[in-house]
Amino acid sequence: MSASFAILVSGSPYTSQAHLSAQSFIEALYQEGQEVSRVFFYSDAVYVANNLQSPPNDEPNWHLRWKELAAKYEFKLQACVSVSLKRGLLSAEEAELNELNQFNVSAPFDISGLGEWAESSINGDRVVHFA
Amino acid sequence: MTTLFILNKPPYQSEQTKEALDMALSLAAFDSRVALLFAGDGVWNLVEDQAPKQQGMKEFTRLYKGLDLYDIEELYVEQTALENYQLTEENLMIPIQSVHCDAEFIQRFAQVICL
Repeated sequence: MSASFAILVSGSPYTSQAHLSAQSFIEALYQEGQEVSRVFFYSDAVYVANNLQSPPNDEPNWHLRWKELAAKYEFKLQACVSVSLKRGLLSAEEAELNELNQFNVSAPFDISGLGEWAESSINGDRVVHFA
Repeated sequence: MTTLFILNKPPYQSEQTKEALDMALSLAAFDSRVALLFAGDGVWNLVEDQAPKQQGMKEFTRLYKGLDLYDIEELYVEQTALENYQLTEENLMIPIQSVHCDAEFIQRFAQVICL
């Protein structure tokens, strides 16, 4: 039986190598027949959940790359709720709860509590952290 | 299986320590075993008589005094960091075991997270 991997990303999408490294690692895992249960974004990594980011065409769009990778392998993309709200990243639901009239996070990115991350630990997933 | 969180940043320079602590507390709340290591500049988290409110910051380090409520009882501070900053146990807000952060120490933990 292959182990399930839980990926923690905490580095900022545009000032660290965390997202490139995490995505390359996930590709390699699936090529080896392994599985990823979830990718959990924490600290400045949650900025990648912003669906308004519009880099030039010839530069990487980390948001889009996560979407494509998650669709290809069917794992969850979860951004931590407390750090996301602080940084102005809100889903439609969170925007409504906080009485704000705009939102910038939508599926497949999900705004999740730290409890979701704790679940990985409880399930005994192997955790790999990209900072 | 214990997850070690290494807190190696000063408390108020960035959100990193608070966010690492939040993650540790939530793992502990879900009955995972958690240990904290204060290393490098992170030892300043433990120093008594902080006044972050003067700068409009929240004094989240008060939480260190109530970690037993979360069943977090494994607390360590890096000996070398204390020496580097000429801090002694009397300067710290909680009693805490000082350790040398060598491979032997780190290998005691199933997971290590350093944000």
